Amino acid sequence: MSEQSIAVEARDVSRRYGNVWALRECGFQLPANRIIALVGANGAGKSTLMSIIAGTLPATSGSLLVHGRPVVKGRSIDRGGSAASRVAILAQDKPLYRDFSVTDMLRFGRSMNRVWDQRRALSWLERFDIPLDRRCGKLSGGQRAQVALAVALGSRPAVLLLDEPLANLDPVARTDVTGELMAEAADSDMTVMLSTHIIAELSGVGDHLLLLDAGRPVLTGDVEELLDSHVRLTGPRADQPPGPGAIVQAQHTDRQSTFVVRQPAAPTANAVVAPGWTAQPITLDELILTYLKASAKAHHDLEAAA
Amino acid sequence: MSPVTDAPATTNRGDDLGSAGGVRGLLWLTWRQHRWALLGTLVLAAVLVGWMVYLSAEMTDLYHQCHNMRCPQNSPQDQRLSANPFGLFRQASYTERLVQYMPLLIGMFIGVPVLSREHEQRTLLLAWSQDVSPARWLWTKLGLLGLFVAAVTAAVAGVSDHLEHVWTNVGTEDLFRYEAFLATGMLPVAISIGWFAVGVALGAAIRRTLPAAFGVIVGFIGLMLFVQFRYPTLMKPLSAHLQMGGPDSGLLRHNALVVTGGMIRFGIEGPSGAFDTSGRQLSGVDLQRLCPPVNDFGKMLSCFSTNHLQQHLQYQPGSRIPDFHLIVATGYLGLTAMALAAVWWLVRRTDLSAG
Repeated sequence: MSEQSIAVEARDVSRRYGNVWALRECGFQLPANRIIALVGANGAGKSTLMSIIAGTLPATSGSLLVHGRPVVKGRSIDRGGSAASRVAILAQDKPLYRDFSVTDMLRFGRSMNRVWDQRRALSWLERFDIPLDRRCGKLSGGQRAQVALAVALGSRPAVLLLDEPLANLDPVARTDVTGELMAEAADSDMTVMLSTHIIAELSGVGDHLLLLDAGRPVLTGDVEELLDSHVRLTGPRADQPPGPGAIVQAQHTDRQSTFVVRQPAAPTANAVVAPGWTAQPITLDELILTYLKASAKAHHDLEAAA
Repeated sequence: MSPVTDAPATTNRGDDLGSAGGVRGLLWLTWRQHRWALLGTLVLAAVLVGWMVYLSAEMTDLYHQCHNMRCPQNSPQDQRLSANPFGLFRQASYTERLVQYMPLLIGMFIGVPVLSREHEQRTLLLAWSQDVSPARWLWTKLGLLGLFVAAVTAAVAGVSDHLEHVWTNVGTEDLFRYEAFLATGMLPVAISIGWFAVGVALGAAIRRTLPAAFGVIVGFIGLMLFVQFRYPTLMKPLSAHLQMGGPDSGLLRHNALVVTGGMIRFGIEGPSGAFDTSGRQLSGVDLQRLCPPVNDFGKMLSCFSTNHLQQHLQYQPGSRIPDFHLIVATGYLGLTAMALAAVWWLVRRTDLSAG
């Protein structure tokens, strides 16, 4: 990826709370103008990573760049940051000023940002029928989430970080919001990173995946490419799969072995790769679960060895 | 592309910091967040100023009616001044008390919520993740609120100072008395600024409004008592020997503050506070034997005079009041500086996670 096309780059980023490592030596590059799904179990370090990208939490070590500019805690664009590296973050609990009306919240966004697109923020609220004159404290959880999203979108950030954005929404609103978010991202030069621990939320949303486990990135890449390069091989009991590629997961019964393999080139779906063996594509859910299980097993093995 | 340039009236541009993310934007935000506290303070200050102006005018009028002298006891003017519970003197003491406690209210209702409410409502992440940096957000808000506090308390202090001076003309009060001392000169402004800053610091440290407000109350009362105990000796007092029962030397006129001495005790084994011509302090028993306390005060003073008894005093002359104001105000401004340094330190150490 060229530097222009990289929205976020982490170089050995670590973050420790006391004796607990929330992130450990994270290194990755995330492409610009894409919707990035940040996936991980509770406590995997998703919120910590997002807070470091947003500049509200310092990394214990390592460096993080947004559009090529290093992120420094507490430094916003009025102190030398670049408009091209502006980041907006929407926290899990979607904080708003309770006694502000929705209109006041939009004015807050306009007052606190050098770039503000009132039309974009208003249009978001209109799409979801949010009453502008109502106090935020009187809105439902879902409505509050929409107001928080409108404020974040109105500031026209280069990178929009959404921490569990769909948590307060009903299933219909989830579909609407993800659809609208994808449209917003497609219409503007904005990179959206949304985190979730509910894999089902991701279907059809993210086009780039960053999978965190215990503070480390275990899988990152374009979703299509990842799905194309992974295959499940099932055949007679064997210690190794019948073809090239890195074994992500191996399961054995007395008579049968199943391997999830990351292959160097895209396999042909359902092709028979060796006598008695079948190859099947795997879904995004399966891919994520496979890597999370493999990572958990690796940790367990490490702890047992220690 | 979203049509940013098609909506000029509602779209901020990157080169327009003056109207967006600038002082004007933060001015609106500060007003919107703290308007009830600010309005409450303004109303309280307006009522206080109006009340004190009325009392000053009334006292001045009565002073003129008494030919620019203290009004004779039991005269109609004296009745109007000294009547309880709503005589002018009593009302002036109420306003004096309010001026004295105004910094506490400012600390609790304007200072504490600046950061504690943001912590409680978890809105700091929202505020600090916009284009305005946390440092700019903090110092601009503190500057605006501090200016408001200074302006309002300066108005109150000016009128309060005038009322206290009128009161000393009409009544027997003096300006070195602790309550009057706190309500005059620049002190109401310095003390209010100090407790505003302490309130902000406690709100930042405790992160909860009620406990922080309680901390302000405890600190305010504690410091007020400490200053009351300590202020008579902020400068080395002057010493004097006064002839008991003799003509008034005028030493204690013009708002002087007696630090030690001046009390006479009869009938006790310990020192009486009265000295004979050789400089020896009489015991209470000796003094009672020499000049028995009687109902006729003139007769007793005459006895003191005949025996050339003296009192030893330590006092602060009224001319030192501006110096004392300066010392106490400097102390409160030092407290302000320390509190603001603590706020900055706490804000820099505040890490905010989205989770």
